Amino acid sequence: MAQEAITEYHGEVHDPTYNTSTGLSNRKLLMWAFLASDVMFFGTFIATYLIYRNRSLVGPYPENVLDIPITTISTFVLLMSSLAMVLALHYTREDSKGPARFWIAATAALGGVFLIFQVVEFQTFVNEGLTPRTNIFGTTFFILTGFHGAHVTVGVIWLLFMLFGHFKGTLRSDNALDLEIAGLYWHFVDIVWIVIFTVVYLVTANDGAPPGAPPFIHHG
Amino acid sequence: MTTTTLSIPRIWDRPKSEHGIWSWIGTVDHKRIGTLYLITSFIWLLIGGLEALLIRLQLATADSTLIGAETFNQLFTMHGTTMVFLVVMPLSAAFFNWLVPLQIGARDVAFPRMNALSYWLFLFGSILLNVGWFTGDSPNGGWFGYAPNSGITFNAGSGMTFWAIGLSILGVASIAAGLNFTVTIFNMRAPGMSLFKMPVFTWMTLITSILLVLAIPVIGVALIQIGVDRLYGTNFYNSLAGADPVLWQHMFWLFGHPEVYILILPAMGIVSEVLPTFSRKPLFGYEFVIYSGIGIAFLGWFVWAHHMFTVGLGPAATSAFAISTMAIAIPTGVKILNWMATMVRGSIKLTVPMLFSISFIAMFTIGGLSGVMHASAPSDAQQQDTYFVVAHFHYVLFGGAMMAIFSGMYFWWPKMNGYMLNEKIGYGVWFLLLLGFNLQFAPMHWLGMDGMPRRIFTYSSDQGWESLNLLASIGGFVIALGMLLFIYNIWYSRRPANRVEAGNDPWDARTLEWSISSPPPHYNFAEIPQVEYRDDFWYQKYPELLEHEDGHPAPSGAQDDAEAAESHEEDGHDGHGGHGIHLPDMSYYPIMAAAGTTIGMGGLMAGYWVIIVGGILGLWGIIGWSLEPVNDPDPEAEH
Amino acid sequence: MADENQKQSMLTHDGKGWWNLPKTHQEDPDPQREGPIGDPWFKQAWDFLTYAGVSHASVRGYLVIAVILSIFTFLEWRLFTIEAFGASGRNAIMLALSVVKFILVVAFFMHLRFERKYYAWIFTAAMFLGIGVFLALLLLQRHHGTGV
Repeated sequence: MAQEAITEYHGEVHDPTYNTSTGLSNRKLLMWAFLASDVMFFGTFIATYLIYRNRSLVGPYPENVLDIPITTISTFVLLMSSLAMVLALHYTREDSKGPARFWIAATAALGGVFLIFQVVEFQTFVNEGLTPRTNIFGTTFFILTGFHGAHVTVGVIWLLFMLFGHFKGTLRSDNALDLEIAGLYWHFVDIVWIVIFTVVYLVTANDGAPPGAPPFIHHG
Repeated sequence: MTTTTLSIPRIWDRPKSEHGIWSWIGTVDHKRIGTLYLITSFIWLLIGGLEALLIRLQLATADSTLIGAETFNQLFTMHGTTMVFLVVMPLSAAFFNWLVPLQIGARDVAFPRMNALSYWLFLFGSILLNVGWFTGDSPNGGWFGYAPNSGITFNAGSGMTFWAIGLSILGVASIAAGLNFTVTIFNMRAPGMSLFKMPVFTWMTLITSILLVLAIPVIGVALIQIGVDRLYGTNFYNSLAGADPVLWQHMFWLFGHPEVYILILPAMGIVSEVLPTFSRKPLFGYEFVIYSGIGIAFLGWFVWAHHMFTVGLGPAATSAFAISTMAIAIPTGVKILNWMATMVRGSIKLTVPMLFSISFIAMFTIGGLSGVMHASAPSDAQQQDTYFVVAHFHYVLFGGAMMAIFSGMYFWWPKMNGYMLNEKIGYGVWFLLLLGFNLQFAPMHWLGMDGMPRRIFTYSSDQGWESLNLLASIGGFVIALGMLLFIYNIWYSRRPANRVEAGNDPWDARTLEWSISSPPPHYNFAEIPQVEYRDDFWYQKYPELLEHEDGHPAPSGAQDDAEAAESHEEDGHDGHGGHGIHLPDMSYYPIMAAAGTTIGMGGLMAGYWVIIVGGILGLWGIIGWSLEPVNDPDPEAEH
Repeated sequence: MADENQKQSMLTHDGKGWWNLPKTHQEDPDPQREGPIGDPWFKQAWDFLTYAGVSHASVRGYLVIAVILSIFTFLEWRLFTIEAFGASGRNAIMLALSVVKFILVVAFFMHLRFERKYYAWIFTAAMFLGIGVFLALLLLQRHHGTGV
């Protein structure tokens, strides 16, 4: 039963086989290998964050600044941008111009909203006295989420180029691979955020002052 | 893909010239890029060697005041960094570039412009790394850059910042190259060449590329961390804020140990090509050599803490890493036995490349054995930070990697340049290098056992280390003589009077690159070869050997392959698209993107306006690149 | 018999192992048989992850996945305020939820579930290597203590 379903899917997806030894597209293989590389990149940053958990000598500590409800909303926004991305790819493959353009634009816009959330969040933290220089938590938190934000920014710019290409007619169903590869990158940025949201926000958000460190009193 | 109508206005026309400097700047040809890598990294080899000679001069006598302690620190830091990142890695990359497309029967790599980008990033990054020599502020924290010693608190000045930024740029270059060769080897093989029919050098390139893709991000993050610490005062390695300096050691060696195999696996690949050729036998236990390579690459991820036995990780962790380190000796030993068994009962020809390869086996075995000594944690506690360790890693990196690279130079020089390197002078080069190498590094075993620490700029005369140190310094100059003789060898052999034409196949070798002219034409293969066997070219020359030699598929399987190839030719597809010979056009964008990246990242030390200039240049390069079709006249899908 | 073939393909270059890539694009392997792991439990688990469940990805399929993702995110947020499970129990549940979210995005939005398995092997190999290496690192540092 499962097999029939697969056949049905393959009929739907217009996935061509390429003239290469493996039949895989060079560029898609490149993107997957790059994502494997990026796994190690973010893995190292996340490992650093966890190793340095509860080691700050002064506040603010995670419990003083991290705002779970707001971050839940920004996480939701990024997840929905992933949905918009697959829909954009779906309609580009079907050559439905209007929906395709709408969903590409929606993906980029949702990514932009996520970035605004992040900028506001950073600004709030700085106002509350947490900068990358304040303590270990500030250092590891800002650099990790900052590099994620940089990835999102690159993704938004890439998507805007895709949108431009769609209007110019250079992005069509026969080269939807271009959009698919951008999509792989976009979804990867999304799953990195799924991990960051859980590991950095949910798991450590209740961390207060470690033993021996003074509690944080907010001035101002 | 397909026709692209988008493009940005061009200031210059797309480069077309085939001669002169612009033909090199705009090149995307893997052979030219390989040559660029070869020349650049050979120059760095001479500079790194000069640094080593200065170190040896300083240490030749006791209580020497020839160069001060600070300069000594800079010299050993830059010697290590140069030799690892600017010599052995790019020399391997030179062979990757030259040989992989030829060995798998392709006309170029999968992403020719990205290949050019890798080279230019490497060139600019390596220059940035060495800027310190001119500002008088060279990196001085060791090639391992241990924090917090490399942090801003204990190491003010710009030296280690140059180091962090320069290495980051080299890291980007390495990841791009690793991705490129992974895709190339998976996707660009000639029809019929399944993975287990690939030459061993190509296999080792594949494994090395995958290691690069996965290991470089780790050091990249560590460099970002130390970089932002130094530039912006963050706390990754600031002990005053509660940071743990041991984390840097973990980060560095987590990358550093796979890196060791990134250095040695290509060398193993070169040796695995040279030995069968001059023994006139197939490689003994091809599958075992491949699986051992994969095993080494995998195990290499779980041995890093053996660099840190004296940190105090606790008995459980230390035992675990001691065991995993000893385990990695097994696949390595398998390979050594395979190489020796390849020579057993072969018709051995002692040419220069063969001599270098045999020396590789001997020297690498010595270095490997002292490595197993370090794996034993109690013994390592005695050897840590002594010259014994220096002896060990020079035996595996000079006696191992460099011997194999010289073997490869003499072996493939005729293919790259069309003429033979003089054999008689070659014997001299081999003799001087092997002699000088052992003179220099064998005494270090005794010095280390006697307790002479690494990284000290001098020692007093009552320690009894003078004679052995003098011997080592003499050895260093013998090596230098060998290098000069090698350069003379090139100069001598290319003079028209002494030139010996190589022909297609001067060594009667086994793999596809020897089936085409030397140097190969721009398009490599006029017709993409159909591969039936491992060492296919050898069996094309000697079909009668097919039944006698092991290590190749049974004739029936070969039949299937041939039929498959035939049937699919009837369908009008030739594995690489029936579009005649169509090569990627030249492009200026890779060098532009590389220059922009380097200026932008270097600008982190200079000021915002430099970052902006670099950013604009880099963006221009990247955007122009992505809108520029691979081929102007007839844009085609994929490759 | 299947085991015999498996051994054959693991030990010799001549078997029909995963490295025996198609010589031409006409010889597409059966995507079911493509992975390096044969029939044992591991493959069954793999098949369960990749072929069970939703039959095909359509717009409706994507919407279902998105709804599941949203619900899980909502659950994580609610869990965060619940004290009942204790800190470690709560963390375990939240990690499990995020693993499911991760797999859903990779399998459906990134189409890995429907792709040729080479991509899956590249990505999962890196995932497992990264998880293994960094867990080892976390364990080491945990025993290294927190004092400076």
